[in-house]
Order: sequence, then C-alpha cells, then structure tokens
Amino acid sequence: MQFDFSLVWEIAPRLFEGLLLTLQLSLWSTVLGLSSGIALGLFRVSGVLPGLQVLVKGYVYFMRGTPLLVQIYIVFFLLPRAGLTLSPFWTGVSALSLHMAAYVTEITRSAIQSVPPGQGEAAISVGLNRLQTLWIVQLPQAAKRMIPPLTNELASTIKNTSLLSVIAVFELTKAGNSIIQREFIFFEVFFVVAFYYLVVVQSVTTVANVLERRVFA
Amino acid sequence: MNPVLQLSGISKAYNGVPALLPTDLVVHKGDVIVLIGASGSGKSTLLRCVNMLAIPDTGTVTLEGVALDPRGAKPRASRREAASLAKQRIRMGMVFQSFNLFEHLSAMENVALSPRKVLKVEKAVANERALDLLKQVGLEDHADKRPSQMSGGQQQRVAIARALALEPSVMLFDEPTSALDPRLTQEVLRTIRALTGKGMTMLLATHEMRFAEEIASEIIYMDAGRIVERGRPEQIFHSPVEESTKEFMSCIL
Repeated sequence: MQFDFSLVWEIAPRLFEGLLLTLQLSLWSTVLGLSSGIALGLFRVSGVLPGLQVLVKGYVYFMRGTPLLVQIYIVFFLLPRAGLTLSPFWTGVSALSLHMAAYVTEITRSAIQSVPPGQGEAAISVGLNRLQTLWIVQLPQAAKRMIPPLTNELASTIKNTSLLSVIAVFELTKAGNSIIQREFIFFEVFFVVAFYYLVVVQSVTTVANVLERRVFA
Repeated sequence: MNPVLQLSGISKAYNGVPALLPTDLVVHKGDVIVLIGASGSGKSTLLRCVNMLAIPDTGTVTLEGVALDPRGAKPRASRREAASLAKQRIRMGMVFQSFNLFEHLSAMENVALSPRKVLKVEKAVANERALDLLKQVGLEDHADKRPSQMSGGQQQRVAIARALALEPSVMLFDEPTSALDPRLTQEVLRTIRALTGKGMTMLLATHEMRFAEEIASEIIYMDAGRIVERGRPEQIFHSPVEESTKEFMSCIL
C-alpha cells in the first residue's frame, strides 16, 4: 500500500464542497439543537405543566437510548409520511438537531441543578422571585459549567454529520466516498477527510476554551 | 403593641418523621432568643418554618400582625401568592450555616442585589448602602472580592450584610458559626454581638454556649422536636429544671 502525498494536494480542493456542506449541516443543527435544548432544559427545571414534562422526559429517554443512525432513518421515512417532504439537507438537519436537543436538554437541566440549592434558598430569603433566581443567580453560574459538555456535544454533531451520507446528503464523508468509488484511492482521501474534521473540531474547541476562560471567568 | 413574630402550633415532619412538634413562640421587638439543643432537635426546622423555607404542616406564623400565607411557598404558587409571601420574607433576614452567598457575584453585588432587584433601589444608591453595610461588618476593603476569595468568616459577615440590606425587622440565624474554626467564629460572633447592641430583634440557633449565655434575652432548649425548657440564660445554664436540659448542660465544658 502506497501513500502518495501529491494525491493529497490534488484531492483536498475537490472536497471543499463537501466540507462546506458539513459546516452548514453542523451550523444549522447546532443553532436549532442548542436553542431548543436550552429551552427544553429550562422547561424541565421549571417543573410546570406536568403532562408535558413526562413527554419531554420520554423524548430525551428515546433519543439517548437509540442510535443516531436509527433516528436518521426514522426521520427520513417518517417525515414524508407525516406529509412533510424536506430536502435531504433539511431532513438531516432535523435528525441531528432532534438528537442534539435531547442531550442539550440534560446538560442544561443538570447544570442549573448543580448550582448549590443553598443559593436558591438565599435568593428566596432575600425576596427574589423564581424567574429572578433562575436568571440572576442560577443561569450565570450554570452557563459556565455548560461550556465543556456543550463543546463535546458540538464536536459530536460535527462528526455525526458524516452519518447523513446514508440519506444521500453530499457532505464531506459522502463526497470522499464517491471519489473512492470512482478512482479507488483510499488512504489519501480518508486522510484529507479526517484532517478536515480535525481542523473544524479543533477550531470549535479552541473558541470554547477561550470562552470559558475569558468570558465566564 | 404587636409582637414582631408569633408562631402558633407550628409543626413539621419529613417523610412522616416529625422534626418539629407543634410549637408556640412569641418574639417581641428587641428580643434576642437563642435556640440551643442537640443536632436534630428541631432548631433549624423551627427557623426554616419561620420564613417558610420549610412549609409548616400545621400552625401559623404571624409577622408584625400579618399571617404568612404558606401557599406562596409552594412550587405551584400563583404569582400573586408568591409575591405576597416574598414581601413578608424580606422583613426577615436569614443567615445560613453554609453562608450561601451567590458565588459569581462580588461581596458588594451580593449585598446590593436584592435592594436593586426587589426594592428597585437605584444601582448607585444600592451600592453605596451596600458599602456602608460592608463597613459595618468590617469588610469595606473586600467589597470587590468574590466569595471564593474570602475566608468563611468573611463570607458569613457578607451574608449578614446581605440579610441586613433589606432592613428586616427580625434576623434569623441558623447556626451561623457551625462551619467555622474558633478564630473565624469569634469574628462572626463579634458582628452579631454588635447587632444586638443596636437593638436588632433576633432568633438564633447556635452551639456556642458561652455566646448564647452572653447575648440571649431568652434561651430556648429544644430536644426531639419540641421546646423542653425556656427562660433567662442564667436559669437555663445554671439551674435547669428538666432532666434532658440538665444532661445537655452537663456536656458543656
């Protein structure tokens, strides 16, 4: 088996398009998954509407207990049946953000609940209402604790976009695969593919580290 | 004149285990009532029932002539119920065993927070007043420090300043020095002593017996969730009547 570096330079630009799609998938899935996950996490902490609480719990339970690949297939086959026909791109974004939201729900809930309950009692005793307690006392402290697990989640989402190749989304992995199938170059292609993922994940991690040190110091 | 605080028939059980049996207590302006007794005797439960951090199973708490509505303390309280209880709670300053400062805020922000957010005092005014209170507890040089940068004694004094910031009519202390070493205990006790000098009404649970004897206008000895004996400090400490009190006193060095 030979590894030809000149091929790497030749392949790298041909995978830009796939990389761009991977970035777009990651971005949209993160925007949707993060915002709805945080909203659901806050809802879980609030304890209001017990019926809906059970529903959210069940959703999280299902999403954490089944493989993402299965979830992608379910969304892919279920959405059209429900009368919602989306492009492969948006089908993929739906699956990934539904998946991410479940994890973010738990990250948000546990971060808020990890703020010592004594501070909540102190907040009550000085007359803050529940919303003020959440907003002024608990959330700022929870936010900092949420950064490392959210960074993990974001990295997972970026890598998980590769699974969308099964529903014909032409992201980075799928794009690499198609070169392999046509030209039978394995190592050089996967080298470039892996390198691109690494660079993207590393940039996200670096930004998160700065955020954790500077902004929430 | 109305008593500042009146408890009648207050009781509380946790998971069917009684922590506080039906208890009556009247606190008048300027009283310094000190609760003593073994751990688990019901002192904390009594204090927490006063401002409804623990919702009493029975009985009523009356503050300055107005009964507290426990519905406001429930998780599903309506906005109005919660607000009306909050209005009464801020008349009682609570100091906790573990300080419970807001960890992400400076000492000054901890003290100024509720005047700003609850009483809607302007920021500059609230800060100035907070600085003044920090001076009172000897911490004007630490105003910008976070709790994690302060000793336990300093944190507890910030917590006292925070409770005083709402100008409460009664202060509730739940074992304020139990988490502190002897030296830090002394600095916190000095702060509390200074408050009694200003005529602050207090309900205080403690294991610092000499301090209790010194500052109390009345000592309440509790055991197994009830008030066993109460009276002037010299009487409780030197000529207790009840067997249980005698035994407890014999443990004091």
